[in-house]
Amino acid sequence: MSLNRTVKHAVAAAMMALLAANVAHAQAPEGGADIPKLEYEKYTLDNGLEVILHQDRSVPLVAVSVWYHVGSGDEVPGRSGFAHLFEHMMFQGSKHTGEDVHFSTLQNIGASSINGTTNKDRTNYFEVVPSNQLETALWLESDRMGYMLDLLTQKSFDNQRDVVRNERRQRYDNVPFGKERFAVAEALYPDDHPYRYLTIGRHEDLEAATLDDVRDFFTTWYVPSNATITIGGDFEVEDAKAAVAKWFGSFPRIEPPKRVEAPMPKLDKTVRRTINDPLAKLSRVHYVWPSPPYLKARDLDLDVISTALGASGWGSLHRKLIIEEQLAQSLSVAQYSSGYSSEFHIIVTTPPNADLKKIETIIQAELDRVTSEPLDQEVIARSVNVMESNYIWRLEALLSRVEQLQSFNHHTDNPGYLPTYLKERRGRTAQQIMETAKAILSAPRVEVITLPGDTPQKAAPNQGGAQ
Amino acid sequence: MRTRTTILIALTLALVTACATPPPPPPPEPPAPTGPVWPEEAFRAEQPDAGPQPSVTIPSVETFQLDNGISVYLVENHALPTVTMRLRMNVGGMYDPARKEGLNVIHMELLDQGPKGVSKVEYETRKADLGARINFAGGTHTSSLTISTLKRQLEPSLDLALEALLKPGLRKEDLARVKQRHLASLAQQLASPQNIGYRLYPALMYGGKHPYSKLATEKSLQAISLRDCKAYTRKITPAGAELFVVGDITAEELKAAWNPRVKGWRARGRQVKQIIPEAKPREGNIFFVDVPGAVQSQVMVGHPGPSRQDKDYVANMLMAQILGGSFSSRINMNLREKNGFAYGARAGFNYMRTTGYFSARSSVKADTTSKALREIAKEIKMMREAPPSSEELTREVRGHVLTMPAWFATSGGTLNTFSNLVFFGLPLNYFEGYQDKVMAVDAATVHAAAQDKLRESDFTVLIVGDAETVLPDLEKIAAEGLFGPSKAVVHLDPNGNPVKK
Repeated sequence: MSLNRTVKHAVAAAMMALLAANVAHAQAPEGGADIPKLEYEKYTLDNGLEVILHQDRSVPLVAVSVWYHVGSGDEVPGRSGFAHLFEHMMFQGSKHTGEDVHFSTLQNIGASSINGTTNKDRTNYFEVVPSNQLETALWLESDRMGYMLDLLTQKSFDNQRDVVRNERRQRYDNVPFGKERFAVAEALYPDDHPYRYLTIGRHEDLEAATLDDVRDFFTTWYVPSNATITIGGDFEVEDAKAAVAKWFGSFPRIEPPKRVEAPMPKLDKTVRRTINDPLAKLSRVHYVWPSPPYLKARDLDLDVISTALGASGWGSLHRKLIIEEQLAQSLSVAQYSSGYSSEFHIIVTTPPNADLKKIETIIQAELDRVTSEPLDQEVIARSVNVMESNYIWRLEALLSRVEQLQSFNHHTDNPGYLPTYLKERRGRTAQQIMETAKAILSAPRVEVITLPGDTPQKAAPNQGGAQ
Repeated sequence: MRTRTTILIALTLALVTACATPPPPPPPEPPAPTGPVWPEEAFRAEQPDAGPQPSVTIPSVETFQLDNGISVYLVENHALPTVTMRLRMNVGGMYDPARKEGLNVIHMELLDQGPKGVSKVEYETRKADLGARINFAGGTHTSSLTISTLKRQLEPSLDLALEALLKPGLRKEDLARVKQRHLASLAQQLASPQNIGYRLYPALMYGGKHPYSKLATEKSLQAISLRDCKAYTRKITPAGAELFVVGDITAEELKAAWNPRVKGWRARGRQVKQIIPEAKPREGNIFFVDVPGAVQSQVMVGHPGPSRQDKDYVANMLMAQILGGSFSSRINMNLREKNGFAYGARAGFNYMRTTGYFSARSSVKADTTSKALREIAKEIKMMREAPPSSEELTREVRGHVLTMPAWFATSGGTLNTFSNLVFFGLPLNYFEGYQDKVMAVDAATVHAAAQDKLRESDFTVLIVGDAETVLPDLEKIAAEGLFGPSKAVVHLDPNGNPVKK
């Protein structure tokens, strides 16, 4: 038995095992390895709201997640960070539930997980509550979907703008290497591209946002036909359907907004920037390539390549840079996938006196190799194995399963895309993967080099940088 | 869209009113709906009634010993064919020898570089092919080896993990790499306000030569040799070790898998039980570390507090939740939602095995540092002055006891919940009747806990931020004695050494 088959068999068994309680199995593909799938039912209300139900009666909990199909990738120039700022406003209250009581209401019913997040593609809101409290979760979610503007005030908006700007300070401006994240995006995306200022956005754009922006954004994007609600856990399907109909069924049908797909950026030549970061005590070499959107064949290939290069110990670049040459403190290689276009990153963090030139030579040598020679079958199989087992372990948690259904629904319109996703990645050949490497990683790239900086000058107000 | 509808209706009404006196006009046509109509439904006005609360199933724990004396705590769960195991060993950073601080953590990480004759590359390759997760982690009191695996891969996963533990490679080149990584990471930590705060604060709180005040420094990390590591390996014995297991395995299967693999691993000598002294904070009330240009200050305010074993633990916990434990707590609502000083702020009790301390902490916008400190002081004072409202108490009581099903919803959650009980010496049936016990706590009891467990004065406050922005007001706060009798701001470097202002 070849190693390839052994590894694949181990993974298939792993997935069967982990998902046994809550999934059925699709037909075994050629080779006999079972592919798991998550059980669900999907339907759409007359007003266009999509509903996905995933039953799991093992623990008396329900997870409710609402995805609005709008993210920072849909922002317009001058309003960077707005999708996320808006997400904060969704917690400030709505007509029937009251002002700023979202968290306390949920805490009162025993919610074990409450939050919302924004990325380039979408904005999500979720809570995990005891199974007898499904309706209260739906009450809160339906009220902010329908009646959020009723309690909108300048005061709460000003407050949340401060909170978000503090979030940016805490996560980007006051931490080492926060600066380079903006530098990378600015080098990668042209002026009017919605990915240019990251999801958190620029201070001056956050400052410039108005209450009218909140109203417009809400009426445009937060309509039932642009949302999907997924309920997972311990419920009777008929009860859940009746509850969804009660809380969301009478909402009007409004045409969904048209999303304008942000183009994948194209670099004519490699852009290199060297920056000084006053908070950095280490140096960093950061390469980025624009890459194809999530779930495209080449996106799957780049997942394999990132693992084959960056996995601890056996990843080829990790082995050379960190184990053999001991040149770097850490290495991260990743394909960050998004709906419009993705980014392939190589990040090497090194002691300040490290030989950056040597590091860059080694990176280039590895890139030359993966763009000109097919990866070993064994390495491909191992990469797939690691990715699949990480993926499957994660799905033990109910909320993760709910979010997975949401994600596949968002990106493919098919919540049950899991088997296809796994099969497609397993089906990619060494030749195809090499061609992807050649097409994407031989192209011009962004290179941002961070050097430890001196004490910063106080930033002038209203600049994109730290404040 | 709805806004526009509202405006149209308002305009129509205004026109109707304006035209009211002269000849009565024909009744206006109701305006055609110009936008979507959002329903007015009475049922939306009230939070829906919930059905009966689902009962909580608390998993039962089986206890027994392996042949070499390791105490086992097993929760059988056959829903998924996986097994998660954590071997907790009686070695921790608090025992690190002087001038070699960091030895325990470095050593545990060195074990994770692969067994004798198996290179790091080969070791990681085997892990990947098994689909198993094997982690070594060094802690303050104890250190652990955690293995998550499919049941069918249990034997080979255990072989690999226990080989790494019991026949470690301990290679020079691996140590050099591990040390280099820690040195670099330490250098980076010492430049970040948040990291400086979290690293330094326990040392200020416990003070002087307390075992919890040990800080690994560049010098102490550099001093760790391969010989130190080899000697350290011999100290790791099954004496006092505990094995926590959750998953698809019976006691008999577990014994059969473990006993032969740890046969030669025996306890040597007598287990020394160290008595941990109480916290004795460093002299001073306000400590300051300058990070020029920091746009936010890391703020920590606290004092020594009760232990996890305190008889009033539940009241202490509820009080701390109301003050700063949850999103809706007073300190978060004040600093974040009312004042916009911070992205978030929290407070609560930190528990070590037999000691504890209270702290409130936040990253606040640099120019609001002193205001935030005053608000934190105010909230602590108010917590002591009056009992909490019934809304606050109900929210935190329910928010605690009703989440119980979630504590046991995953194998990791179950494992952590029970291993924590054992760590603090609490009985395994601790959660029987627990919900009733929490619900019985009233506002007066919480108020008493606040008066008893929160101080009026003599705090240990640490601020890490930009001196130019922060210091003038901080000196005023010190002079006022807001946090204690010491009127001077104590200036420290990021490692906690005193510096001249």
